[in-house]
Amino acid sequence: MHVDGTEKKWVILSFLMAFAMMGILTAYAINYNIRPPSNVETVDSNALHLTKEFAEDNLGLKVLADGTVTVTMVAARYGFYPQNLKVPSDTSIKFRLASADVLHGVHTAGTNMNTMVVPGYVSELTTTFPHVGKFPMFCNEYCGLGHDYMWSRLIVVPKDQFTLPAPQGGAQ
Amino acid sequence: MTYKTTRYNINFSSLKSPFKKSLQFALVSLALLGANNAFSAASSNVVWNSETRALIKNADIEKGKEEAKICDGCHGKDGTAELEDNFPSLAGQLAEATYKQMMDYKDNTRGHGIMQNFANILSKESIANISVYYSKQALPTTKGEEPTAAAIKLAKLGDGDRLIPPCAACHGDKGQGAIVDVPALAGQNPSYFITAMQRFKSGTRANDIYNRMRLISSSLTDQEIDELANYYAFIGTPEEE
Repeated sequence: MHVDGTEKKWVILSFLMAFAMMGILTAYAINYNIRPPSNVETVDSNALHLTKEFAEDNLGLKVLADGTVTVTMVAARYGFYPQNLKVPSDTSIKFRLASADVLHGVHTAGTNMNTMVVPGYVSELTTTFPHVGKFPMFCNEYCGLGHDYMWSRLIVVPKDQFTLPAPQGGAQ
Repeated sequence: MTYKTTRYNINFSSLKSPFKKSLQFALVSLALLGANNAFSAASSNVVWNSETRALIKNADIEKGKEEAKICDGCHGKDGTAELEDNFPSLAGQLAEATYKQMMDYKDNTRGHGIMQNFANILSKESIANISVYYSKQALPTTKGEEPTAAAIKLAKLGDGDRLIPPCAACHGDKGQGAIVDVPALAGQNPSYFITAMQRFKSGTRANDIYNRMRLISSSLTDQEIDELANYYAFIGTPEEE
């Protein structure tokens, strides 16, 4: 098959550009420590309200025996529960989220708290909030007719004004 | 280039060393054990798994029609309740919604002396039959007055400042209900609507998974609840000329 010389040059150039961009993305991802959340932990989303961890009364902020500050949350059409979440500033907080129905996402505006909440899996991320204030927490994966209205509130309180609950599993 | 620590630093803890991972697992398990002690009854025990869905799918409408006769006394013939009574109409209600409420009565996650007695004498299959029978009837006819602008706004747009999503987001833009078990509200008896919302508000009814209706109802004023009751009664099936 005859390929014109100029066309051949353009084909080679396009391939080189594509490979160069892939290379740049890979280098960027490695150097800036960007990786997909890989907490592969399954949960039965149908019966989420009957699980121990994601039971209605177990949601919210708590301190584990080792001192890890954990927030257990549920994304369900159309809201995040607990609806008003208070957390201390400058504290490493581990979020554990699960969906009770369809695919959701959670993003807290002005922070890097952002993850997908896939039904059947527990999403986990750890972050620190350096700024005090009220932040809207909203769904960023289309989940149905009420998607636009799916948002709740994160309140970051200065660390010195926040009393953490007693660690669980430790001395009462 | 070195890894730049920004103020917004996410660590995906699952990517740590295997030892840390198992330690983490042990701690989480320990925490779960701790949480176990404080674990109280769920707001509902109904799970929409394939088994429950099959029960609705395979329900017998003819049997349901016969079995539903015991409901006539309060819920009216074919499921349209009398206005002056505080009973809900069941006509046109989603089968899943009726089924869930009956199962909640059965295991006392929704309390009501009379309804619990009925739920206890009926089998799961009979409840499914009755629920599907009612779901095939038309929604109750329109009643009440022209809805207020405030009610229409709440139903269609909600109130962002109070974190109230619009009713229509879950209950459908015509109040027809939605998957899986979000009840239809169109044409509902307003006095029942008010009772249900006030019970959610006071927490005497708590079979809404993850507080959903308790949160919304506690953010609404009594007047707003009354106006919404009228709005949903009004958007029932139009009267035939």
